[in-house]
Amino acid sequence: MTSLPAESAAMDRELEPHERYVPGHHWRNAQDEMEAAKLGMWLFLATEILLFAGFFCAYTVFRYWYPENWHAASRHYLNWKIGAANTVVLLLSSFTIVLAIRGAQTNRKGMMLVNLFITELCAAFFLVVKLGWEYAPKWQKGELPGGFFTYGGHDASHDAHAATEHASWFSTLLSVDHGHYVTNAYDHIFMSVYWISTATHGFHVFAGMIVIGWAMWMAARGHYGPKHYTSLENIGLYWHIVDVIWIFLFPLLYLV
Amino acid sequence: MTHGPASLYDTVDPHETLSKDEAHSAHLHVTPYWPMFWVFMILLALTALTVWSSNVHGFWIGNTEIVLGGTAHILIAMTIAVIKAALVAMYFMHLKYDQPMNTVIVGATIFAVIMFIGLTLADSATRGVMDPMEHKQVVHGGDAHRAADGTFVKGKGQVDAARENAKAKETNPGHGETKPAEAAPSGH
Repeated sequence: MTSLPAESAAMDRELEPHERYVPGHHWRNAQDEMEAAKLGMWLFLATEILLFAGFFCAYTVFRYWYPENWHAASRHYLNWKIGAANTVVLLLSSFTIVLAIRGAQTNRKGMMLVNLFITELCAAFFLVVKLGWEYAPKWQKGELPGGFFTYGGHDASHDAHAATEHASWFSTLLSVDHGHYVTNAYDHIFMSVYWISTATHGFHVFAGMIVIGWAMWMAARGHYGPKHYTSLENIGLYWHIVDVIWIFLFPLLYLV
Repeated sequence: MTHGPASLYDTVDPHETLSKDEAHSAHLHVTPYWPMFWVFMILLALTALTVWSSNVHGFWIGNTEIVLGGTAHILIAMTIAVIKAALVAMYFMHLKYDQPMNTVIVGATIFAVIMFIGLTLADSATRGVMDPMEHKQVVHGGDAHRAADGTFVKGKGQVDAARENAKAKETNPGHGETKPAEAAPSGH
């Protein structure tokens, strides 16, 4: 749609894209169009849940077979403080993307952009913590999945921390007393489930960063407003499902 | 250069299928701020609760100690996780305010996940029961049984068991068949 008769000549500003949005001609109205888009999004989210259900299924079976070992491995290899920090950050990002959608509904572009930016920062924080504080040390110590598992049971970083008096307040805050630990025959299976489920989840966070970045660009160009914000809504739904999956992964892997 | 849609027709409702009140925007429900804020606060509190509960290994009610084992911890953590996920889905993903069809999709998905994990667990959890049959330790219709120490005792085959039952009926017609369960002490 390029031009309409300028009956609104009194309106001397150019309309934002969301203000002149017209639903596809096969829809009765914009509401029907948005409902259909959301229905499609929910179907996609259903496939996402089923994808992760495979990992949860593997977790259930192996935990049923090796319950004691599973619990000990979870406590030894994973730091619940890191997991908890990431949980809080993801919950915050879910809240801010809700506020971004409220910004679109109430036609406040600043609110929308600021909240999308906070969401993006939270996602970046999550990935930096995941890669820097979890994956990198695990890679160095050989706490790798399946056949790549070479960890010998000697927690070098913990010993080094215990040996030195110069631990910073930050490393003290993050440290968790793992106690004495003897590696078990099934540790590599726990690490397989840990790596495949968190890496797939981390990839979803990364994909979320890309689409939220795109949403920021669209919002800045005025594509989202009270009349039309369908893609922002669906990106929000996607981001929430990433959060929901982490809500289950965190206690299963880090706590119980 | 694009000017306003003016009054030729309403861009969000070009076919005038909605009432004027409904048609003012594409959505019917504006996300409220404070309910969402409190849902966020409850989610944080539940996160703290799940972390805390994972370190509680038991407590006392009067003189009775309630010990929380691994299964109890899993049940507590999963209950909290389900509540958190439900809050996110109902409020943040606004299923509460949406067309019910979206909730139907979620329900069907949860059903599929329960079938998926439940049936897999039903299989792997009963392998120990099924294996003696696979390994011919138990013969259909025979009198194989589990000894007191839990090992399987390979019994007589179906034909031998049937012959002995028939013989027992001939010699002692007042009684029925000898049942393997009576002959062997059940260890299970």
